[in-house]
Amino acid sequence: MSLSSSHSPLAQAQWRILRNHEGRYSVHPAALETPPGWEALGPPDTRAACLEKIAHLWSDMRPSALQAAMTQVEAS
Amino acid sequence: MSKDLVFDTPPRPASARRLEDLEKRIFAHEQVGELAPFCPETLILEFDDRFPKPQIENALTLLLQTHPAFTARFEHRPGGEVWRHGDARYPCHHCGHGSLADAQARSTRHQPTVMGTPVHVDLWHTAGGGHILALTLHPILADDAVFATIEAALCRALGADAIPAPPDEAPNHGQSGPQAQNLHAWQALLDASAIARVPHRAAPVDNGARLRATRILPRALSDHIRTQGTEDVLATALAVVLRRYSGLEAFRFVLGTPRPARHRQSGLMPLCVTPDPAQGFAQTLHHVAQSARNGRARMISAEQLVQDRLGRQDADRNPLGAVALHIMAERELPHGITRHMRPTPPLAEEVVVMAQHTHDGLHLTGDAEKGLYAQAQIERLLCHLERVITAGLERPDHPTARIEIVSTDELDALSAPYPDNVPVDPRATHEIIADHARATPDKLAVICGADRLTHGALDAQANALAHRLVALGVGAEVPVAIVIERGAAAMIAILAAMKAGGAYVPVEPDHPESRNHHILNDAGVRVVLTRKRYQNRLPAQMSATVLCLDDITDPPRGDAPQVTIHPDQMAYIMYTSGSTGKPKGVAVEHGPLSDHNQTTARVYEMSSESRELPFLPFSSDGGHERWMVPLMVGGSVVIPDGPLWTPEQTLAAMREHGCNNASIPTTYLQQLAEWAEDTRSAPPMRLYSFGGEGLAQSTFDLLSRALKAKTLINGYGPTETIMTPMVWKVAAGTQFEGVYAPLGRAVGDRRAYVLDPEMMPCPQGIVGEIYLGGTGVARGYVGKPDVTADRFIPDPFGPLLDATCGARLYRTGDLGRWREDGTIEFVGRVDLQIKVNGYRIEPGEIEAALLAEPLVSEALVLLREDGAAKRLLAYVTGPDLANGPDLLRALETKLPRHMLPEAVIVLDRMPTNANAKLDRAALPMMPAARAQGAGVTAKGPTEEKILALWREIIGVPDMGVTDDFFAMGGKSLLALKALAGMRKYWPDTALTIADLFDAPTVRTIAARIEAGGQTGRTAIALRATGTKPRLYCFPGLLVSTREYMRLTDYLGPDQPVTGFLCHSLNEEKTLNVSVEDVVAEYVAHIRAQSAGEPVALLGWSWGGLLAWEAARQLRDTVDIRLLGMVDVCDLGTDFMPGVTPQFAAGERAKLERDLQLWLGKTRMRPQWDRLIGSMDAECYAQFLRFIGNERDSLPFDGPEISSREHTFWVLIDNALVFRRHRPAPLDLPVASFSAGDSLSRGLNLMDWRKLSPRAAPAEVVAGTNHLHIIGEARFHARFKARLETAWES
Repeated sequence: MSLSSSHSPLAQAQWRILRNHEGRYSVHPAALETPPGWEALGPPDTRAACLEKIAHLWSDMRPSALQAAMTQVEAS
Repeated sequence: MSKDLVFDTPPRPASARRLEDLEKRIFAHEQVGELAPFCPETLILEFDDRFPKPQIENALTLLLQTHPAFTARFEHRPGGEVWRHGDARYPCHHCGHGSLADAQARSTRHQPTVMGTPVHVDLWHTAGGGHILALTLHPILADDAVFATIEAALCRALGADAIPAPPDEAPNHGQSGPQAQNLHAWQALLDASAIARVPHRAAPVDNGARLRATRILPRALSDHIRTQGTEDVLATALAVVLRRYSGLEAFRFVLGTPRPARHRQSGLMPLCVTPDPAQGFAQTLHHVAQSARNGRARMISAEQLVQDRLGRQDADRNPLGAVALHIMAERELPHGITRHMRPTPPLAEEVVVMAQHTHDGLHLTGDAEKGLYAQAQIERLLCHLERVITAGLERPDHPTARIEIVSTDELDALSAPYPDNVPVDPRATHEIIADHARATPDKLAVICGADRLTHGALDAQANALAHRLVALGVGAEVPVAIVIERGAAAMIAILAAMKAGGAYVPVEPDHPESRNHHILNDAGVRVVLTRKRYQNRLPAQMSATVLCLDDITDPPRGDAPQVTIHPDQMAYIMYTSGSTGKPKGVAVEHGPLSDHNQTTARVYEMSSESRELPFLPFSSDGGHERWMVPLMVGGSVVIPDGPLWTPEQTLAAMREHGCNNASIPTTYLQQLAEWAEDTRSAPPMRLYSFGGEGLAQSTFDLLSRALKAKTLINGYGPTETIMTPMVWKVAAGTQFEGVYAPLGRAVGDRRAYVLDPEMMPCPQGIVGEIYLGGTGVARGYVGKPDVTADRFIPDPFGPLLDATCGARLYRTGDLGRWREDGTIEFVGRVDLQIKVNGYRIEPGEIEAALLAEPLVSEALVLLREDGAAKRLLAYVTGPDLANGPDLLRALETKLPRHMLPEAVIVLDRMPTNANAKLDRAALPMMPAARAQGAGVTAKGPTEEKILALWREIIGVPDMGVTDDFFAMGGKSLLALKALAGMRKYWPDTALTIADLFDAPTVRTIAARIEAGGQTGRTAIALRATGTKPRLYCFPGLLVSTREYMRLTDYLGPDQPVTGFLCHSLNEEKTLNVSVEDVVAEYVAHIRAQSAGEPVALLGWSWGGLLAWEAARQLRDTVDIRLLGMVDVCDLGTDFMPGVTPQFAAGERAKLERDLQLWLGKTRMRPQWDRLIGSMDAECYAQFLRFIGNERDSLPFDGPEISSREHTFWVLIDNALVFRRHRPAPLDLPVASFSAGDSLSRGLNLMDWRKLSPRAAPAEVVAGTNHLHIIGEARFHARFKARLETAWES
């Protein structure tokens, strides 16, 4: 039933890493249109492989607006 | 003015014939008084003024004289055989002037009957100078295919532009192989496919009513469908929709299929398909069309297939399919003739979809069982078919799984949150709370034990602590652990952490140390706020600063630290208690938190008058919502000063402090309500909110009744979607359909979705996974970006619905379905969902059905692996529970067959392991009794003999003297064998099956035999006691009375039931007893036992004739409230007096020789001689004919009871008994029930209305046969209803 279930054709398909305007990451089936507000990063891969890459890419989970605000405060 | 025309030319002679299968079935339906699913068929044609009156009348005359439908006459011969002759003449009725409405009204009033007038022909003159012809025929004569030939014949006779007559043979109706081979192929195909259903309500009402919806497709689309092949397109669309609805991979539905016009057949074929959702519509169409062609190439009659399926114990009530599709053939009429009405196919399936091309476009009609469906569901089905066809034909290569069957508008309405247009206050939660310290500083804010804090004091104390935290370096994104028990101090600490800009991390001091240490390390806590007494529970090695409240003496201060809160800044980290792995920290930001709290306050209608008692722990996020929200609106909270208040304490606190709302976990709320109801101590309250687990209707009713609050709110939400993202807010006393109370709809800037595995929205009623999206979701899991990306996915709907881009959806792992009103119903957990025979099953639904039974306190449903087999088993506990089979039978009436567990196993308690978790391995696989014998050894020769005999008969070598014969697998026939065997040892002891019933173990029956004089009874108390009058059950031939046990269980503990034994199973009986004598013993028993009380009698099969005779003998002295008759057949043609058997030349002499040869060999010679000697000449001839008709040779394995020869002898003897018996008319209430299969076989069922003026037409129990009807829950439900009415009369 779930996306991770091997029965789902989606689970077996190719996936992509997506990132939104806030710098939050997720994954999305490569065959489907990328939803507005998200950009695709890198080539398609299995779902598991995409998630593994995200584990390294998304080291700072603060939204980008907060990061910017905090940097400004530190600088001032 | 009207006159009946009689035509004087003689009809064309036609030879008589026996009825075909479908005709027999329809006749049987009429015979028992229940024609449905058949109905009188009407064709209405209008002729304009280009057809003058004489031309029409002449054409009609010719039609009525020559068309077989108008010349048919039926002859009912003794034994139930019906012949069709072709020599009848029916008049045309000239009705004068009238309109279409007049013609329709008149034809609806006609009630054609087979033996009376099966044909009504009405001719009207229209105002425009034309004519209207209305033909109303009994379904035995005509269906749509027959009307096609009538139209063709009529047009020919009119000399109008000839229209082609339908072909005599249907296309593709090849008979490529022998029937047996074809049946075999179908069996394999049906075994491999599940029955697809349109999901329906859980507790169906089985009353035969139907509902109908129609939809007209646009012209252009209809034309496109026609060019692609209407049947192929519709069947493909139905396959795609049913796959989406059911999740089945290999399934079937019924396809109405053309049939030769000269034969009457039902023309139904199961269409077995395996549509691949990844393929496009074009490829799927190719697959479906191929499956239909393959099916037709080996088609056999639907009746034969149905009978084959119903012979199985677990047959579905719609064995070919539960959804049917009929394409009504297009039939052009000559200019000047219009068709206003034509027949529909029989409406026997749960859902029947009909498609017919018209000038407006393709008409889709959905006709469904009203007890199962709501009108809107069927309208939606038609709409989904149209959407799939439109999308499929537009983009034939687009995967069918991606076709949108839920429109954007519908999705918008279904997913929408509670309406709320108030602008959001951009400030953080604690800033809004601080407002009230300035506005109403002296107003009470917190009551906790002896503590009383005003808004002003709360704020001032939090400010003081906040300044200290800032000094310790707390700021944005810095986690501050709160290791303090629930109460005012913890609230001050939390507010202080937020005021300092940090994120609070609640830690319950009483929780296991390992869990708490994990939280403190994992969250990266920099400061720990705690008390001295909890200090030793903190990890030894910790870099965080520990601050004990006991050490702080800072004076309260009015000013908060100058800290700006960014909306993306973390407000708190809440650890979830996942079922597997270590707890994960969920980080929640200030913006969505404050937004959530503000909207929640409005949905809950909170104000500064609100005083809430939150009972939820601070280790759950809901516990914090329920103190923050009242304080944000200037209200107050009463925090329990201990974790475990009794219901009495809680209610007292509410009353003492004048609470007007309370938020309480569902489990505790039930105890509270029970206490309040028992003691009538519920304080007046405006609102209760609750949540945490599924809430059954019975619990909800209890809350409504006992707590006397105006409003109830069921809250739902994973921590990841912030506190309570969904609520169901209703007035107390609301009724909901379904297992659990709805979860409701989303709150705030969120939407709730139910999506299928392809992330496509599910229509209402279809189970999918619940997703929550919008801005009101958590940031994610602390330190776990991959897990966060896995569970929080890009929201594809936000841009469509709200123009919000880049939002995320949280995958809850919970299963639900949208209800009609757009609220979501909880169904179960994704990871617990299982598949059995292709069907998706939610164990939670079965568990809930079990928990709804009064005695069940715990229920667990598991799919267990038992070697290679997978078994669905239910485990229950309850202090007064004894009987698993009873519960299983209760489930049968509530759940579809594919959801029934193999067994319900009663346990003293659920087995647990050392960690107090359920120990699955310790759960027994099957009820203990059936697993193996207890093996207690025999004492004494009587026990030894019986045990050896039983072990051999049942085949259980380790059976012991205390094991139950029936529980060990002893069936009726084996019981007869056991009796025969025991009679050999003790020929002087009268042993009946009643003895085995009452004393089903070796030990108990041995005691009976040894005691002597206690055996040989013919009546068995199936249920000895009860408050209602007694029901007496009469057995069919050669069956014990065990068959009535399931019914007895169903009727419940108040209904006493006695079963009688079949006389053929009794001791050596005298030859040629009369029915009167057979019954005399039963009558004496009833008369003695009833003692002035009313009774009801029930007879199944031939037992019905016994019950009837018993009623005749009893009627003057006993108050008989009801005679129940279950599938009772009269004698067939074999032995019916007056039926003269036919023999071929020399056949009779040969049969007599065979008989003599056989009599020379059989050991039952004396019995046969006596039996044959008692036959008269007609009966002897019938006997010879009967032997001649038998496929197998005569058996000589007698005389043991249960041998084939003995059974044969009993059958003939019984036929002779009933041959001499004719049931007499009686004026008694009769309720009769017929098995659908008996009707389809055209059995000679009794029409009790001919014998009693108070007999109702039979109720047809579809999808069961003569043997299985007695154990069928749908029969039980109907009989129970009739019996209860009878007792009330």
